[in-house]
Amino acid sequence: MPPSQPIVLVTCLGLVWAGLGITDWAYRFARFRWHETLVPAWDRGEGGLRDVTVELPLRRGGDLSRLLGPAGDPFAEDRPPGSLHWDARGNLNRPRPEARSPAVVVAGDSFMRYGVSHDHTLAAALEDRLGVPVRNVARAGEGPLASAYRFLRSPDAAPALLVFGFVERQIPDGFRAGPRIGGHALAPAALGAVLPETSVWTWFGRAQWARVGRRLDPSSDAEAIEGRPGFPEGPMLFLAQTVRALEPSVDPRDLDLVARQIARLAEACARRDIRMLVLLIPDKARVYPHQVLAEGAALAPSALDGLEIRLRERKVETMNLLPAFQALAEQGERLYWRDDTHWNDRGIAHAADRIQSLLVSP
Amino acid sequence: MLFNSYEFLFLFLPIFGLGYLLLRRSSALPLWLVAASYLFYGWWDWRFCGLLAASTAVDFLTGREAGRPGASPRRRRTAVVISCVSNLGLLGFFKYFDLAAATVNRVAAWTGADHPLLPLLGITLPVGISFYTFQSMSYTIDIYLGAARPARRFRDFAAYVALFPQLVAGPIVRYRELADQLHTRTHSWAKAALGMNFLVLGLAKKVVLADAAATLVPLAFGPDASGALAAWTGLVAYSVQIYFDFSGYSDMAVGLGLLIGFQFPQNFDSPYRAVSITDFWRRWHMSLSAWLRDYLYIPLGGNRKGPGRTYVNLFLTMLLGGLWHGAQWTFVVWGGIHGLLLAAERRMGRRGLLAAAPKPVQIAATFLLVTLAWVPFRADSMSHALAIFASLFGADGWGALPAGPWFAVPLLALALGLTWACPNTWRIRWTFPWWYALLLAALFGFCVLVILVNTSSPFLYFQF
Repeated sequence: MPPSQPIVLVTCLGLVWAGLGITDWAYRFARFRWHETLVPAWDRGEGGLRDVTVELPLRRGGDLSRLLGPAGDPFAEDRPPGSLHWDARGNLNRPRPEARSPAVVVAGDSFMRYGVSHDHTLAAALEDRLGVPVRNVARAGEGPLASAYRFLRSPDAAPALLVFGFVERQIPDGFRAGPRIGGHALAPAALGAVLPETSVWTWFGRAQWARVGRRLDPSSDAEAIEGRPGFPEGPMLFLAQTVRALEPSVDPRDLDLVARQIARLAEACARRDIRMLVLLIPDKARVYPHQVLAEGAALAPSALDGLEIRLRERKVETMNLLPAFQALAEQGERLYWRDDTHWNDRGIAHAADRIQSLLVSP
Repeated sequence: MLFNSYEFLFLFLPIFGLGYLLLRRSSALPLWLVAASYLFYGWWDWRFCGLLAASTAVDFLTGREAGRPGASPRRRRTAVVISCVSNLGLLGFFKYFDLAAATVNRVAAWTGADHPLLPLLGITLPVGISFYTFQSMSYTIDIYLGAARPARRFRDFAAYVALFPQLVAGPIVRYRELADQLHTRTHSWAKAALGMNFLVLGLAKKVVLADAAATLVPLAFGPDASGALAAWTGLVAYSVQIYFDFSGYSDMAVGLGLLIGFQFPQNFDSPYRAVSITDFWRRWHMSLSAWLRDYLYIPLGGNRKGPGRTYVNLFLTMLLGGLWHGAQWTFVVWGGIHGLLLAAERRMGRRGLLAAAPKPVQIAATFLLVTLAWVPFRADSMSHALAIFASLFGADGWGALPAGPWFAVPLLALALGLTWACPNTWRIRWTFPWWYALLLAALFGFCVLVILVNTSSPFLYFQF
């Protein structure tokens, strides 16, 4: 073997490896401000360490239509102009004096945080109905428990009520790692999750993979599935991964695990004299299965029902939105964005109405 | 930390590599190897590092006693017994306690007990414990038998036990194979190129072929499995998955070893081209087969005590080999099937049913037997295994042609083609022309994208 040959291979591979790594780490720091994870998370704002307000113009499209690229345009909906105000803790809230202690806190996953502006979140809807300060501490992409535990460990005054909610697809994986908060941002489990998600190559790879999948088999591996026509306001898009996740039954042992984790959170709230209400939110495909499933196909029974039973057995106050949402869907009501996985203003309003009814009922 | 994870490839490896290059000529190099290996291992759970350190310390001390010049035979024997008891005790507690307790409770329930006799502890199995306890224990035994000399420095021995390329899933390397390499090993461009070659090909085996086959496995083993066609597809896919998963890991381990100058032994030699079960075990997980032969089969008497005892020894060795894979009776059944087949082959000798058949028929028959034996190995329980066997042989009808992701069946066919039509990575006389370097670099880039899109899936043998 000529001596130059191994050098060529080592150089070639080394360059590819270094190139992939260097571009990725540079992008991670520049785009995702990864260095800020060194600051304890509960004390860090998403826009820095101070309040940030972003004014948004009229815009079009949601997370699902963006996945499809131009093919998603027919599904895209307009979002009205509005403001996103990130408070000093990095939470999406209406601007208000920090000193004003909230009577209600909303925690959980991206559904609980979601809003096209800070006036369109579940927290804002509750504040309008209840007439008391409501703070949103929910965050996306960190599992439902983290935001609740982060709030409980913060030095803030205890509210009267914590509304803790999450969408069905979080069961069980969103609960496996337990709460990931604070200085644990650099722990192996947290790094294992955050590094691939903040990689430019992940986004590149996903986009290419979706493109190849759509060319070779338009039905099987697209990341977003087009719903059937015939729905009053036009067909919706569904996240393929969620539809696939809802097809098999959730293992009862996983439901027990999730119920145990939530009961533990309820105990932590009780120790601070905080009433906790668990809000179980159905996925879009669960509420509109006929839009997305083939003839004769069915989803497995909802994990929300099983979890509700388990939580009630553990004396955890629970509100399951599935029956109400299914009834509204049958009347032709659209509770989710057509082009997004999240609920729309009507979905948020119905949830807020039900919470209000529960709180004012004797 | 998984070899096919982002944090290994783009966080651990650059830092380790840089440190290794800086300390290459320093006496602190073994310490760097130990520190990096403990970080690699502790990534799963730092508490497991304590077990690894305890096993290392016990075997270093017992090895020194077993090899001390002038020590009495009794003292040397005591040292070996302490090593075996501590390693097997560690393995037994962490891996088998719950199985033993559940079995005792079930027997007690049959005999009328109205409450469990033993509590189930729900112990988390430390990753790789089966591998490093065997490796560490063989060190003391080899010294006792005069096959190895005690390590002079603790850091060398600690580096041997914890060496991250082969720590969690082998190959199981004996101390005598690495003793000299720990302080005198060479580094060269040729070794580095070969190491990178093994590393990338192993990565591709895992993330492209094994993970693609894995998407078809639920057709046989999933809750919605139905029909013989689907069951056979799923079962063959599992055969492919486990082979490419584990041999891919082994290739990556060998490649990483070569990059830091170590030469690890071969662990797979095209096992699905074996012409008999005996031949299969010469080619599958070769380092475990050799370990079981040297430390179990031969001490049991091997073939030195007559044919009857040979069959029993073969059967017992495979039974325990099966149990080594996991704390479930399904693994014991798998080991038992292989033990029976090995004993039957030994009994028939050259008069076996397929002895006169053409070689392709022998290979096909062996593959079929090995594949069928994977059923209890992979099944959740014996009743699950029986249901799969029933499905394979038509109890649920033939069913429709199975469907899977668009890439799965072509990649399964490619994997089977590579298995039977191409020489394995150890048999190729590697040369690295420029076009191959480019091809390998592109394959590496592709594998990285697959890892990121697919998210890392663990290697199957980590659980054993």
